[in-house]
Amino acid sequence: MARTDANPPMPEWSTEYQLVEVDHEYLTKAVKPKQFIHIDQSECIMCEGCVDICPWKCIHMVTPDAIAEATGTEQPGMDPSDNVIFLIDDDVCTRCALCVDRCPTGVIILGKAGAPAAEGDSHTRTNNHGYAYGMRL
Amino acid sequence: MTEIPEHLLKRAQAAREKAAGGDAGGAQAGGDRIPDQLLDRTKAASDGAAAVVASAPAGGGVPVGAGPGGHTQRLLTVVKSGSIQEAKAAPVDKVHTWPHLLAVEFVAALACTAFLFVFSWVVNAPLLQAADFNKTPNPSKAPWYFLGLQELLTMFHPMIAGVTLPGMGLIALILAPYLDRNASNKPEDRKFMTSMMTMFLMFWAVLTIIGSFFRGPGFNFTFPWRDGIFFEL
Ligand code: SF4
Ligand code: SF4
Repeated sequence: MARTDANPPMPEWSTEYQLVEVDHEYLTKAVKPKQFIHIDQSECIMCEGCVDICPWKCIHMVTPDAIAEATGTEQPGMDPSDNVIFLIDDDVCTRCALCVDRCPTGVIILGKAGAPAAEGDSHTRTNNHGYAYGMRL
Repeated sequence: MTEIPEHLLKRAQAAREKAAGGDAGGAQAGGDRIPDQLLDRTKAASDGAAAVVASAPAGGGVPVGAGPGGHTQRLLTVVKSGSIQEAKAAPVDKVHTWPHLLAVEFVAALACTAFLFVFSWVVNAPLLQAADFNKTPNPSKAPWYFLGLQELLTMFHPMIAGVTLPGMGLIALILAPYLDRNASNKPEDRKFMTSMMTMFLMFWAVLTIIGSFFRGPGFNFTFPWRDGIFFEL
């Protein structure tokens, strides 16, 4: 069957990641779009809805042992309660926000990296995060 | 500003150069697309060029696009509680049944219907004249695709040949997905099932050929080169 854009090749993934902590200036230099997907782990139920809905297959839920080394930050998996990690390919992500809509617990947000934290409840969508209850601001 | 260890920088740099070199040699001009030979995932992994970067207040000495495929990949979150899904270290590609499978199947069904339509339009297949019970055809043969079964009937009791054997075949077909748990679709991994299917096809082909060409009047055994062919398509 001919490949269509609805069925694109998956971005490349590794099983030996080198985890490095960077700041938002690095991110804004490395990736053109200024908005970034975030997941708040505390309410994620690991349904993989975001993984399924992403048309570009750029969001993934994998075991923490995919990260071989961590520099300047705690290595996921060291804490035995670390269950899964979510990875995103920021060069492939189109910021379509389908995953934001898909998430049944509403823990995915599309926001600017490095922007000051929103006041009050951190789960509230604000202008800052570019999203308010399914409505783009 | 966090120090990035020398060896990580070197590995990332080497991978970048490799990717850039491959790009220059490649036919396509897409800057961030890497030619196929570099897309080998395990290779990218063992080169260690992968950098998951977390947006946190720290410095970056990481070269831009040091992740797999020259992309920037980010650790979104580490989830602590138990999962309702089974997680694997490497992601599995999943697509939805609709439209990826069903669209193709629908088109295939349309194509078959169109073919049948044209075929029955072009090929004339009239009924024969009214049957005369004083003059029944001899031999009386089933359509060719039933002649294997008819041949079986000459060897066994109708209960065995007509019900038990086909029934066992149907049950085996129903159970096939449970009996054959081998997920591979490479012929070299499926020797047993391939030989089973070959045996079945040979068995059936031999029965059909005997029933078609080696059975004459009274459905008695005959040789086509001696008594002629008693076969109509
Ligand atoms: S915003 Fe769209 S492209 Fe990006 S991860 Fe979510 S679903 Fe995928
Ligand atoms: S859709 Fe939401 S709850 Fe489900 S896995 Fe993704 S982030 Fe977690």
